[in-house]
Amino acid sequence: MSGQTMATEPPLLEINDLHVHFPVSGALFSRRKQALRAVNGVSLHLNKGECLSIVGESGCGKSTTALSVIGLQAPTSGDILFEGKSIIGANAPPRMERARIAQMVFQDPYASLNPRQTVHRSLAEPLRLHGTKSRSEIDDRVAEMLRRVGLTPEQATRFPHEFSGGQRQRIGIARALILDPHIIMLDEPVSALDVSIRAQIINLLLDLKEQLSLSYIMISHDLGVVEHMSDRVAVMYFGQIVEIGHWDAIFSSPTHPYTRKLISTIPDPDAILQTGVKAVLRNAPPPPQGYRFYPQDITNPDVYAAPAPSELISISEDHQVRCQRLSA
Amino acid sequence: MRDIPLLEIKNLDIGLKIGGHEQNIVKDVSFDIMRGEAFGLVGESGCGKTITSLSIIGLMKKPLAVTGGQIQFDGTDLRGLSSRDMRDLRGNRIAMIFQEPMTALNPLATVGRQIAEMFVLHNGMSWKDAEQRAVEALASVKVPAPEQRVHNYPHQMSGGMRQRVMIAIALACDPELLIADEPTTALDVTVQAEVLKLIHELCSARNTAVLMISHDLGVIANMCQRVGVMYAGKLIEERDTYDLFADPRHTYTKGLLGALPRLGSRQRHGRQRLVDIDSIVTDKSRLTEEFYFEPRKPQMAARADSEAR
Repeated sequence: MSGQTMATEPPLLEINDLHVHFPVSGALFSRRKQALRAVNGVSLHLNKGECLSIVGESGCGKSTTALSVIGLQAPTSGDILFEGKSIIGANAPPRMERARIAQMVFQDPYASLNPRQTVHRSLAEPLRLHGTKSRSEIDDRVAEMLRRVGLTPEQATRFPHEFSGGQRQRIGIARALILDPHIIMLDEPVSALDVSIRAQIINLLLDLKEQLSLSYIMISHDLGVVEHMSDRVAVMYFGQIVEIGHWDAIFSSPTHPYTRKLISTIPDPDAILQTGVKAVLRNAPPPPQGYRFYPQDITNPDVYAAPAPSELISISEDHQVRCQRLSA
Repeated sequence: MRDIPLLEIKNLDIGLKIGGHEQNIVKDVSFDIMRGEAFGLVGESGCGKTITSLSIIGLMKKPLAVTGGQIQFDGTDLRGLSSRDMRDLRGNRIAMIFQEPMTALNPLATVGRQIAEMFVLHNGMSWKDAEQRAVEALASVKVPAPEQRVHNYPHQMSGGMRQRVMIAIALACDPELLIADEPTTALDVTVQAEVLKLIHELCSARNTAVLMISHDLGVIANMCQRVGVMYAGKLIEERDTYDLFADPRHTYTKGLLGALPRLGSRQRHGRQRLVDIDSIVTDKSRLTEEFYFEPRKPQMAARADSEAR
């Protein structure tokens, strides 16, 4: 399937040692500066045509990472490369160009569409800004995009409140796709939707990925959706990736204690039938020789302290887990 | 022989009256809950599951009204009770946990006072004693440092802690029936697991019956012994949880189970397309008599089965 590129080609997107720290004001007149460390050295790459999911609890830094990629959050340090070229810092391309690199589909389709603009206007605006002058060309493009996401061109004259939640999410997807970006960031794309609508949107996203050869970075805490959609999965905890790998490796042999905890907490309808994935959780795998899992304590992270040095250790092909070297 | 159920709902109809028009929101719903049993109601938004629970606890407001059927709670028909009697019952013998603890709690009162209020109103305690009991109640829902936490306002607590406070309030008077309406939807997965475990532990220790409402089949499967599936105002399938998940009979239940990507269901090569139930709930024109009629049969068969046992 997808996910394989030639070794010589750089990955579509590469994040190198990304840090995002938010300054927090200490006491008045205090010189000491505190920073909330939202992202602590995240490195990952996205291949063309791949769906990479980032999972973790709220506050683990997954959304901040995504915002850095689309340029809504300036990183403290680190680099983000698109096709081998840096897209942040001094050499960053202008915003207009960036908009064609990555776009985002937001979680709440009620909040992310302008209530005063018709759907047509919401979709046409980016095209106009990006230099499409001819009206008929814009109309054609909007109509085509609406058809692609399963709406009709006639619905373009309506306002967002005239649509249901699922339809609004379709509009959100159309808006993200209208400029033909290479990467789509999906921030909890279905968690605000009803069960039955969820299936439709997931199917739509998978179809579009195939048809338009898109690459997705999906942020989610719904592991069922993640397993269904992803090619690779990164598990984030407290601003760091603790486990990353092929979806099958993550779900069939979860290794890091945090990944295992996350999987074990999902209420699983199959659990009562004793057929679910939880069977794999019974025997905890040992950390690699000479290492221990990091962080060891996954209950109460100190978001202000710098994490201790640790590294991602390869435990099988395309499966890495964060460990700390045991001092000899 | 079967015991007398704690809650017995028979042919419940709920109507919505606007102007001269009347539309049925809940139609002919019947189910019962035994003492100490956990019963789940699942369905999409708008299928009537929350309305059904509100009718039990008597919190339904105009233009909604119960138009037919019976709600028997421990032998008395709740529909016949005066609002004063209902108020005594509510919170005392039937309690409810809501989805969003931030909107359900009073932002201007400390959580200790909101818990203590239950003891004052229903047990006639003095405020001083009640506040003492509030500390114990908070400790029972595993809030750390309850002596300090009783002085907190809801905004000073996290979502999970607020939901624990809600549970403490709901269980303060040892109710016989707890209605939990999507109690964990607003919470993070790991917190959700803790809160569900807490509800399960407390209710089984006190032999409290639970009516759990959720759209998350996983939550229901973990918490409930029996499940009712609601669809467009009707209860279309009601079974033991195990049977329902192992062998769903109704087309819609099958659809609902197939619409969810379930952990461990993806094959190594290629994935199965999710079932598209289509938003039939919003499209009333597709609700033909035939659709209703066909599914009623397997449900009756299921009933007959359980009665024969």
